[in-house]
Amino acid sequence: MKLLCTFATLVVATALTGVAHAQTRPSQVAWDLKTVNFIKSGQAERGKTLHAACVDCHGATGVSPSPDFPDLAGQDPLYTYKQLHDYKSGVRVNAIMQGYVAGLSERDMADLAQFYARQKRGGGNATPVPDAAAMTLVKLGDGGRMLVACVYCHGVGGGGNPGMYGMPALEGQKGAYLQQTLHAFASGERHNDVYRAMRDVARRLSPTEIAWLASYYSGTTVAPLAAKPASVGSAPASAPAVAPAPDAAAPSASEPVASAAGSGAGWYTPVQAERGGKLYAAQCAMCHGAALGGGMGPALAGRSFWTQWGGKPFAVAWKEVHAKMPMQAPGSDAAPVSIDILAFLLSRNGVPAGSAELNDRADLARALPAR
Amino acid sequence: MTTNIAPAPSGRLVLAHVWVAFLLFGVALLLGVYQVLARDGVLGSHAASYYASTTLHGVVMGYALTIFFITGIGYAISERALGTRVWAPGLAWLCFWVMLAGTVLAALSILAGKASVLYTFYPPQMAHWSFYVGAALLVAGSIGWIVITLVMSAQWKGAHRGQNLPLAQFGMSICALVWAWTMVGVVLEVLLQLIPLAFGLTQSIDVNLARALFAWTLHPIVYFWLIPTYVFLYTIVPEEAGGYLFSDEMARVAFVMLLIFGLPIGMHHLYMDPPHSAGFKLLQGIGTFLVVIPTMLTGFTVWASLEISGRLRGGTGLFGWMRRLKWDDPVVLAGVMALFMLILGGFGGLVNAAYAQNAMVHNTQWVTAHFHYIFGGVAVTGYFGLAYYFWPRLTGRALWAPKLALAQIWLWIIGMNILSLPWHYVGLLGMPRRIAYYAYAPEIAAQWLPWTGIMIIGGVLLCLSGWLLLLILFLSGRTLPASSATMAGGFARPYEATAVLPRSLNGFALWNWLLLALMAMAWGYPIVQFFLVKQYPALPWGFS
Repeated sequence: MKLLCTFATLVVATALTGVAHAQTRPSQVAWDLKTVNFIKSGQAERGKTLHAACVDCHGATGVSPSPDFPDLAGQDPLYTYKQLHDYKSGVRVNAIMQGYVAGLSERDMADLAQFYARQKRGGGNATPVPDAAAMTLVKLGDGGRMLVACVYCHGVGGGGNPGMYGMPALEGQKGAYLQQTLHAFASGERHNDVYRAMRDVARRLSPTEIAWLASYYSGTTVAPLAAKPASVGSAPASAPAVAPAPDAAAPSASEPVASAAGSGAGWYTPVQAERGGKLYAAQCAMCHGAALGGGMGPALAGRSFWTQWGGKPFAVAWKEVHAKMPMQAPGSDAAPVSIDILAFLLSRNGVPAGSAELNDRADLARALPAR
Repeated sequence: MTTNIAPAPSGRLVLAHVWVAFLLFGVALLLGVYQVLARDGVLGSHAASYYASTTLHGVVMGYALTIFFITGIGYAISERALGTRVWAPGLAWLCFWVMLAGTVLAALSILAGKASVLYTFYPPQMAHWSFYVGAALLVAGSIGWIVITLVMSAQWKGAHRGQNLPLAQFGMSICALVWAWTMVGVVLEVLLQLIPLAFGLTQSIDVNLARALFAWTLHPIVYFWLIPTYVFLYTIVPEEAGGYLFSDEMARVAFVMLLIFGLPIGMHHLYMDPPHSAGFKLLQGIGTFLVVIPTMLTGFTVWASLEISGRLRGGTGLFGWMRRLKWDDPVVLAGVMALFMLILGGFGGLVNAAYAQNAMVHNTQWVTAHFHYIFGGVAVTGYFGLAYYFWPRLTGRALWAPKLALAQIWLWIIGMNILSLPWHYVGLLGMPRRIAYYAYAPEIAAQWLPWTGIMIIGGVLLCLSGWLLLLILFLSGRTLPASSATMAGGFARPYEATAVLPRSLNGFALWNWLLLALMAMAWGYPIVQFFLVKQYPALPWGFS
């Protein structure tokens, strides 16, 4: 028996390690000679053809028409290639981009990277705002907080740094995108930076400092975000402006919510479940499957949902999700984010909707229906 | 030893070399002052200028000052020791110009900010090609001096069968051989790895191989720097002090030991490098400790020689003879002080050579402090003595203000200690080397600050001393002709007549073969392994 227990523990531990590893695995792109030469050999002409699919968000020449999408024009080709590669391998997560890169070959990525590298950088009027506070961070960093100066990697003025490998140019980039990206690094939601360099920098920056830096590099005025936004990464701040990608997993609000029998009052509002759906698609679908059917992580619909959480106080599910997820940065989601995601999970399992939003106070004591 | 009173026939050749060496030295000292100020944080943080400055300071001091001074003064020593003219002076002049062109090329690329790779080169951080080509020319030019020195030894021996090669020439020949063996590592690195990469002929570099080749050079180069000072201590200081050399044979044994023990030990610079096994580190670590023997031999022989002179001048008692040394003679003072600094610097070296202690001081300021003691305190103090000794003999004019020369040496020794003692200490406190400024751990850096502040005083004193040297040497060209007594001074005679030495101690062939075997044993596999085991070469950095 003892032996059996030990064996079972080992199996579970191995499985868990595997899951953890899969979710926190680093970028698959390393700057060896083969990779660098491969990217150098990318054909911009071919990249231009491939770019046709990207025009809507990133503009005809890689200069985005919307403040929410990043410019790609004039970007370091190694950087662009790595991001595409990371999207495809799931190391960088974004529901929209995941859909677009799925069909790209490595050759396509190199060609696109070379096409963007040859385009004229956007933000033509964007000479960095000579803001003294931002300049201090940019040029000197802050030794007391172990903050290295931006110039060492991104070059003076953020123009990039070809002497290093895969360092993005920041000059003239969209302010909102820069801000969202730094917040995403800070929360660990974006984690495809080599040696955690950007995560270590970003988590030491205050929202105000992030706004200064975004203003400085974009040459525009960026207001600080009051709190860390719900879903960041490359996803824009103004969520409603985003059209879901064709194959994005988020279920639409119009999808009928199965109503469970009995149990009286509802648990969440449909609007809340819809918000949660978007968050789920961005943060959870990677492992738990677009249809909650499981993948690298366990399924969250049907039997596995009900055996784990059915009939128990909602607090059990809340603790599980809010404290332990997402896997690569447990506990990093703000409470409203976790609550919305849970509302979405309840809706997909047929727990009834109601007139009040699900919350992490009174609702914690309520028992979920059992199946 | 015969006394040679002939005026220096190649005075201009020697003076050209030594002036270039000391003028570069003056510039590098100013950079040193900038660097102690920068490290103390009083100038704010300018990483780019700090690294450019450190690179130029290191390249000038470690390569240019030494190569120009040693080749130049080497010609003077050979001429006086053998009583003949420099062999092939045309070749010597050609090499001088090649060295100068290389130095200017490398210096310009550093000043342009294109070569801030420090004097250790360490790739994959890359400099502009002109830096490597300049360094290669500087080293290539010095090969002429090696050839000339060895040819002069061979010619003299051919003409004086059954006689011992004069000790001073024996020492300088060992110096030339040490340099020939030493340069192989860095020459291979620069010619086969760095220059092809800098020109884009190759695209990646095996960094571990480069580090191994550099370590081959990086330690024995210290003996190339030191041996002229040892020659000074053995053959000039005892005579100038009014005494005898305690033992001619002992000096030769020490020189030979420096050659064979000094070469195969560079791996103690790689103690913390993973590609090398513990066995080779142990082997070369033991070799490092063996160098203690010739160093001690030198210390005791020169000390005994000084004691002879002190007692001949009426000194008595256990230490009383010390008071009777010629403290008012800059040549003697430089010798005594070089020996004193060797004791201090040697102590730090033992720490570095011991694996476990090395792990604690690795990449800290302790290491930089140590090599400043050995280089600045011992080698360069000897160069001052050599310059003061040879200047009247090269120019035919008396030394200007010998009292000021004494002050210059005292200033140098005091400055070096004010600089380097706290420097060792901040190293023990964990202050890393090769860092432009220390804003990253303010609460830790705060405990270094009082000491880095004291170091500024040391740096300024050293700079003043160096510029005083330039002033004295410059004005010495305008003083009265030197007395014939000064001009006549020869090399030290041994206390007891030297027997006719066995061939092994009057030549170099045996030692070169032995050294070849030792080098193959110590470095053979550690270098060959990079061609046997799959390597993952690095991409160059800093290219644009």
